[in-house]
Amino acid sequence: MPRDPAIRRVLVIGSGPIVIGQAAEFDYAGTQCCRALREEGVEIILVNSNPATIMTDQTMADEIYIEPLNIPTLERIIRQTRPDGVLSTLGGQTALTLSMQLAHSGFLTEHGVRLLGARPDTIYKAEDRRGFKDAMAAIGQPTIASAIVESVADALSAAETVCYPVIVRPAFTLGGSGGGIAGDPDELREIARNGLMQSPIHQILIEHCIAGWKEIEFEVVRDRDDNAITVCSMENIDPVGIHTGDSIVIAPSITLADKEYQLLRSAALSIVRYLGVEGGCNVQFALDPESFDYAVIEVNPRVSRSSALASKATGYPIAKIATRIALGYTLDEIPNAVTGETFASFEPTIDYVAVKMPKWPFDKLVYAKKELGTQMKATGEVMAIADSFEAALIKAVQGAEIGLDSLSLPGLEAHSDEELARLISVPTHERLFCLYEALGRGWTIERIHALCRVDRYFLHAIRQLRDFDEALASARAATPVDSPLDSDLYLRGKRYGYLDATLARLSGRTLPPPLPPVYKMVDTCAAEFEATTPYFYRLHLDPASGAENEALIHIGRSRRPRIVVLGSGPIRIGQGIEFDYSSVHAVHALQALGYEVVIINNNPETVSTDFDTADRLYFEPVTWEVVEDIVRLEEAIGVVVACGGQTAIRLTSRLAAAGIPILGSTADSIDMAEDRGRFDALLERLEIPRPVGDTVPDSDTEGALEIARRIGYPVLLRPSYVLGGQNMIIARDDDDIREYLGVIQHYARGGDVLIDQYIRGIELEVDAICDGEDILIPGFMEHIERTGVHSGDSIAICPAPHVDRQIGNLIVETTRSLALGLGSIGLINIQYILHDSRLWVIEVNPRASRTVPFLSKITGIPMIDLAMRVSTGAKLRDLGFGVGLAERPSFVAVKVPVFSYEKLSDVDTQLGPEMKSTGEVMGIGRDLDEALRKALIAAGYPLDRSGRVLLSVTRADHEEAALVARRFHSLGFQLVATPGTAAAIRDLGLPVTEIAKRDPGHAQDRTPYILTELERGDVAWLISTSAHGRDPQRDSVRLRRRAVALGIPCLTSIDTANAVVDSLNSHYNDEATVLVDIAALKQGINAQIERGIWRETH
Amino acid sequence: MPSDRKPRYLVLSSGQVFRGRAAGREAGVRGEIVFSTAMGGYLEALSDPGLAGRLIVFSFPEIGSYGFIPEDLESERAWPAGCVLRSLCDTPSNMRSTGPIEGWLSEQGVPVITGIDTRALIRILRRQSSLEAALCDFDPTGHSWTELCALIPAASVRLPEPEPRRWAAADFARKAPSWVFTLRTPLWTPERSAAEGLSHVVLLDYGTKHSLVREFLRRGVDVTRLPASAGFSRIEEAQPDGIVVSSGPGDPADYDLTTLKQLIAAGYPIFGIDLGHLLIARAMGFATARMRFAHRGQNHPVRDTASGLVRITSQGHSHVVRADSISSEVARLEQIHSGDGSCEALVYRHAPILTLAYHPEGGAGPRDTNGQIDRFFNLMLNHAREARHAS
Repeated sequence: MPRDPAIRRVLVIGSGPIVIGQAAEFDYAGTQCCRALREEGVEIILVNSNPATIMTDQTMADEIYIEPLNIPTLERIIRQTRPDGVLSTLGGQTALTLSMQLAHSGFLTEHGVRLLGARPDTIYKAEDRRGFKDAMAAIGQPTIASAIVESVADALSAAETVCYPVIVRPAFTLGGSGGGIAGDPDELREIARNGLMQSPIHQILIEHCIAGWKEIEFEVVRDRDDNAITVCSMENIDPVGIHTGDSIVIAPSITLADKEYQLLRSAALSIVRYLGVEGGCNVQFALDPESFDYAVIEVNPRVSRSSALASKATGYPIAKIATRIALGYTLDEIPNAVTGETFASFEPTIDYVAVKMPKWPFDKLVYAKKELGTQMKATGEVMAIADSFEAALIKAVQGAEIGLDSLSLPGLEAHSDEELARLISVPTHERLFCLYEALGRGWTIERIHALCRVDRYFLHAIRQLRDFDEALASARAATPVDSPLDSDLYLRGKRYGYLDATLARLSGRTLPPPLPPVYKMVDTCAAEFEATTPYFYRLHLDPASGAENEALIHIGRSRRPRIVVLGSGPIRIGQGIEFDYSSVHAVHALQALGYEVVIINNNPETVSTDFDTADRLYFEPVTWEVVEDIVRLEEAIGVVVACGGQTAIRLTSRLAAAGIPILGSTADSIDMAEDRGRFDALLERLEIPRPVGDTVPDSDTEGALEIARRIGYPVLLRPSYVLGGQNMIIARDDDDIREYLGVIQHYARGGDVLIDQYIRGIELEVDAICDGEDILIPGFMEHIERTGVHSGDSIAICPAPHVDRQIGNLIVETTRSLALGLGSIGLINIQYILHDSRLWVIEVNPRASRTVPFLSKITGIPMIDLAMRVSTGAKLRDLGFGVGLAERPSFVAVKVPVFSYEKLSDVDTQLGPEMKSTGEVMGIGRDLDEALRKALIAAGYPLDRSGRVLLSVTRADHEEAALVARRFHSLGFQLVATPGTAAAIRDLGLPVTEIAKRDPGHAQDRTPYILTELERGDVAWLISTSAHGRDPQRDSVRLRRRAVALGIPCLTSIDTANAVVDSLNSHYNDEATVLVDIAALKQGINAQIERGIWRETH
Repeated sequence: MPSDRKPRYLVLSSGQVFRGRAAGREAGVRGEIVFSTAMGGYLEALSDPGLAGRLIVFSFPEIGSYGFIPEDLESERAWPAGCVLRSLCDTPSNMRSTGPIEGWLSEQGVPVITGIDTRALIRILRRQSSLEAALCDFDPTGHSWTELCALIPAASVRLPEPEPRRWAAADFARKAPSWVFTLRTPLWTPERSAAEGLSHVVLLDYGTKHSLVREFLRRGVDVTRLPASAGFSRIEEAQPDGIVVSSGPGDPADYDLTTLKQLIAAGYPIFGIDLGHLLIARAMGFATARMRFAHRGQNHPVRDTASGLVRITSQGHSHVVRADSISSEVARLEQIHSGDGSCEALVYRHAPILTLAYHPEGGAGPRDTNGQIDRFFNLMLNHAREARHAS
């Protein structure tokens, strides 16, 4: 059946900010969806609150709304844009839930809008716990004994029937938020209470725990004629009990015989048919490793993280196919773009394995609880393709950016056997390495299997690697001493995916002549058909075995000069989807300039690793060996490092040393910005001030005092390392320094403490493009939070409200001299402090920054495009966007960070110098109040105008907190505060209820205790700051964590609190904000308002 | 993975030499080389008589990961003349595994070559409709293909004559392998067979797989296996409700069709699978041809020409019924391959005959078309009713 001609305009709902459980995979899906709609000539209306996405690019859709993803906004957009249909299945759980609400309320029917992709009853049967159970029972598919409850008491009684241990799963939450495994009633009470709170419909499932069963997933695609195929099977290395997003996964399943495989495949198909899914669907099974018993765990009737993985693992573009199906096509009518010969009805088959490894944020968030369970904690993932599990696993580890290139994790050898056993049975993110360590201690496969239930196949594979490492280590003793590594051992190492550098290090020997790798194509059909898709992975084979390098065939057809763009690897805190945005734009810009562009990246969630983004995709970890090899193979004329974040930047010096040209800023220029000494010298020469600073060993209290006195109080103190017990603090006198160092010495890390002049000013951020002569600054961003909060965690405003013409000129001049002084070409990002009309430089990064997509979108200046043009020799003056500072926009845009605290137990939510946010949203409006309001709403702040405000702030903040309190009070909020803060509030003559900071502990003390107050239910805002945070045992941290659990918005900076009050104070509400079509920003907002009003009333 | 194993060589008749490592039995064998793109089901493939005398290349890079599972074999032995792999797993894991498959392959006399760039090899093979190859343990460099043919014997593609045998449906529940109970209940139940008076089919065995036999047993009818040479009268004596013509190796043009023609003339309901499909087509006067691209894998989409519905099937054939030879008077081309449009199912108009180019029983592979077997039961039922009515 061809496509439905009645569908001419489609609303695509995105997934919003990147949070744990909902990341870049939905930008990939949304982008594929838009491309497919475009190819069909369908007009696209796009809504997503996340500006750092490709899908919200001008070129992707006809009308683009970066607006809060909530019902009132969506209803207004639908009324205004009059789509024929809404695509619900490509924006993750967020879009699915919103679509379902729009359908349930009758709004869609009323407005003649069709729900495309999934029917409401399909969503109900798949998503609602009871609907799901009933549906599975109706088709005889087994599920796990369970009960749905809505109170803790019911949970406890249900558990008696279901039998302990039980798993708690809250309904309708992302990535299983708030779930957990309870072994007894005490544990259940806690987990159930939390789960009920997290579920938007206050419903949890109490389920018998089948931890230890194999976890197998199938990705299924079905069309409306009931044709259905399975795209891919995936087997979790970590058995049931660990969220699949936190599991290492192999595709295809490898330990299932045909009988088990077909059992589950047939089940998946019949489930998807019964549910009536039209598009992609993920089905998760648990399979008893000792019998044919299985159970359906979960069904996601939409594109998901797993479908992105399956798409990248097979080359079968699920989101694109799902979009076409939503338009009415059947699988047999959709050509397979990979082969060009077959249709989407061909089930993919692969001739390699793909291994996915999660990327966890525990290196940044050191106090986060690291145990893995049913609550997903990973921020991102990498995938590796190879011809064995061993090699794919090694490549995944190399690319995960955890500082490892083998399975040997230093430090594990210090654990006792008991500790190691515990780390294996109660898994953390390091379990893989613990398995390796245990095998090295000679533990048997059976002993380890009994502890972790990881299938013996995988344990054997890890043992193979361990044995190989030992063989390498014993090669150290080979004679003669200077002979190279045995060539068989070398070949074995390369077959296992090891890098040359690793083999040399582990064996202590030089290497035999390097074995040239071959590149193999990902083609959905295991070479059965001629494929044209330029999607490759790297492999080492014995040359005599017939080893063929297929990339050469493609490269041989190339007639244009070639450039390699380095991707940014896994999504992690500090290096998110923004960098993928830049990589993809770099590809497109260079293609438009006539180059053939090659991308190297290993993140399966992203647009950059879509096989039709670049001319050739090498799905490989961005390591030196790989990059050098591909640059040589491609005979590339240059490499772009500026768009791949630190992942790419750190290869700069090696590229330069190897004589490989870098497009844009040179290695020397990058080094000058990163090396403190060289950078200080440059600033001195340019006479640009930066806060004075020095370092001192953390054991040297006297030295620290001396430096502080020399710089002059107040000073900023922070440890040079991430680990430790302390945040950055502002020390106002000697006592503060003594106290701080006392605490830090307690942790005895033996590192340095950085002591810098503290300038309490406004933080400004500037992105500029430099062509070596001129610069172009699209705009200034001002941070709401003052110095001390990481720029990625600050609320940013553009245009900067506190920058007048004079300051503006100063910034332009300073930026110009810095950019020219560094010799930077292309993008440069600079952070300044503005204080008393003076400007200090804090940091310079001569590369694409986190704010590039935000600025590009609101200014309409294609920053990456311009950067690529100047990097290839063009001059800004010729590019049509002018030089100097771009015209100030007539509207205001605000970027608000979004955190994933509810997924990460024990992480302190206080803003500080280390970045904690996982994503961002944008609000755009006629003035700051409007933009801020929209952005805060989009970020999930409820902005209720009633209730109580609970304040408990550090001594230094008392005064300012009292002023904020007064503003809340004047809006009608009641004030509650801990003693010090309360005193400051009373000093202003305001009524305040004083509460105790610590549990009074004895009944006769009637002072209410802060945690009890927080739980009473009517706290609208918590304002909490502390000088010492982080340690989850601290009262202040426990308070803030409690607020996260209770869903109470917690403000940890007085500046943020003031911004919130501004928003609460403004006259805007959900109905009265302007809806801004980013694609038509050039018309200005006012023209759009008129058009919107016209449309809404006609 | 590379190891201390001895070198072994794969030579194509077109001249290419691939050096790998030896596994399984010592090598010195020659035959047609074919490839399968299936990701799983290696035990079923290796024990499929349809691969007799051939060298099989598996595209999946690791074979043997779930080990050797005797009850999953589709016949009593391994049939390929040799096996070409990227790697062979010697540390398998599965609840039913009795150990690595190499032991079994050695015992069955199957030489294996590992470490080959199987993808490069398949990219060569897919351009040829048929290619010979040899596996040997000496370095063949410098020898011409003709010389090698003199040195290395060709594998036999002929199957031994199967022993006549009758399987009773009543025994099936007791003796069936454990996984059979994981199959969804067929639409056609044993109770229904009993109620409708269907009790017995004859399987004309050209090299069947056990799975096909089981499909009939689990629907409650006995299966009598007879060799193709048994002759019409012997089959008639068995008084079957229907005839099943099995899959098997080789070119359909090489088979004698006398008995089949007699069975067709006698009006028996006939169900043909794979080779059976081709033989019946030839017996009906249609032509078969070697395909340019053989179908070997578990991912083949087949479309019903009337409804447009597509189902994924398991296939293993290199010959096809030529579409231009199909008389629409005689048969309806009911299903075609949705990739290359080739004939996948024929429904004969004036005879109760249904034939499929693919394997509805899976074994190994998807069972999405398992309902076709139920459909044959309906054919048998209608035939039986008509026969009763007539008498």
